[in-house]
Amino acid sequence: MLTSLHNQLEATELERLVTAVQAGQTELYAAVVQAFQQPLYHYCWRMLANRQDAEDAVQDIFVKAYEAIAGYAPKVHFSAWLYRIAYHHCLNMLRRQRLQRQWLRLFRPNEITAASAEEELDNRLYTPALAAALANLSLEERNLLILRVFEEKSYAELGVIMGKNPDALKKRMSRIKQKIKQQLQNKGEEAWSESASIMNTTI
Amino acid sequence: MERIRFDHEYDDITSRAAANGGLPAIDVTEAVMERISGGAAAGRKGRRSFMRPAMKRTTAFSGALMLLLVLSVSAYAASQYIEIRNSAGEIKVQTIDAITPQTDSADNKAYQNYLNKAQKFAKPGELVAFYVLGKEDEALYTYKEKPLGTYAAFKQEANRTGAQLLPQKLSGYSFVSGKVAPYMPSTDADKQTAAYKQVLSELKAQAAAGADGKKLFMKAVPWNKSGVLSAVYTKGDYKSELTKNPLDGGNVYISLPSGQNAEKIKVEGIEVIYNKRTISEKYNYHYAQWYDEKQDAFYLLTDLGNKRLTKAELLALAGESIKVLK
Repeated sequence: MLTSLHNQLEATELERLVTAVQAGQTELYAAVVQAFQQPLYHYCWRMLANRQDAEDAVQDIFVKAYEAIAGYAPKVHFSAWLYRIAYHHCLNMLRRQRLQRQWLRLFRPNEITAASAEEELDNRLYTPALAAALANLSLEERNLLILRVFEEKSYAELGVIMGKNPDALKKRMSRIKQKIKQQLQNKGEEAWSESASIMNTTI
Repeated sequence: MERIRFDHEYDDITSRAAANGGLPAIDVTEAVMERISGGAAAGRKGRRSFMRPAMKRTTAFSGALMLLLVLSVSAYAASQYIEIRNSAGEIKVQTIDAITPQTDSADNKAYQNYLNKAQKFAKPGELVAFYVLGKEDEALYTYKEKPLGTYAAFKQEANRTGAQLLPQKLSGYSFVSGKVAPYMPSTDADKQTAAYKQVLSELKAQAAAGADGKKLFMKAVPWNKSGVLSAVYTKGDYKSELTKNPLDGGNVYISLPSGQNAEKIKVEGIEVIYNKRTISEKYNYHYAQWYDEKQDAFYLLTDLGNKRLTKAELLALAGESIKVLK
């Protein structure tokens, strides 16, 4: 009972918080940041494939969201609204040349010359075969896959985040899944064992 | 919204990737707050900003810590700071030491994970029951909120679910939006009802039919009995929220962090608890709470708006609410 009631109130409180921030209670935005910073960080890390860039991106996204919060209306879930900002921010970042090089480094391991410990950590987000398969996806496809598979967004939420029709995204995700599956089969790589990952991999 | 089933659909991918739960955490709160505080000050030039006045002022914090109302009897080490008793002398409301959330336990993390999935599964306004294979032999419940933006819609939902309606006007304040949440079965008595047993049986049948490594089983459950009811009101720049928790014979424990003081004050002949909670110099909030014996309900009133109520104003509004709700 405690947990279910608490959870229910948390959802209420998020809406209250956002309303209060819109009304001028700036300091309450701290609670919004605390509520979303970890999932946004993981999303950005997967999108940008660089831990430090992800941390910087999360800060920028929260600042952008704050600047735009007056325009937020609860007809869409706040989380979807926030992820939409994050999505556009990450796409913009990835379009920069420097980050494109990092993508190459992460997803085309043959081109790596010397990886730092930080880069090693980034590389361990995925097995080499999965990283290679992801490298063959477009930015939009990778984004869709990350949001769907790792952030567990519904197609309705994805529709809001990406500004696309949810049914179309569902079909697209199905094609992406097949594409990835085919490439993994071609590589013949086994799934990670628990010990092979520096992080626990079970979802 | 479609139902999401992640358990196996993306195994090919997730088994080759680090899970989010295993990735390091960050805390950018201070950095973000510093940036927006500076930005807000600069941004006020020449235009009326929504960020205006409250930046340096103490304010109502209504985050996840806002309420720790425990509507069931559990084994807490209660320090009896304040009590409210009914006319039979039974304790209905009491303040207790803060409960330390055991967020790190594996069980709690797993439970939170299942709860999150059930929350995602639910459509707005939907009550969802879920069952976790290998855990307690019980159906758990969660609910996705559905804000009601007109008083007519609020009234209709309250009538449908047998809730006593909150008023449209409250001491010069007007209704803005409301919510009616379902009663969520959780007590031993609830678990003896035919409806609960039916739901549990259906969930267990799902589990038996196609477990195949899957642990979580869910279903939407029609509901027609209300639980918590709340309404937001405005008057100019002031905004307040009134929440009603029907107790159904239960008690209320109000969790007070160490050093936190609550006061019991008589308002309109009723004992009202006034609580100001300070999380830090910048983050604090206040609210008034009271027990209505006739309704066996516990009320909470707080302010949310651009302008903050003083303690006296909040208590005066509580007094008006008590009169209106009688």
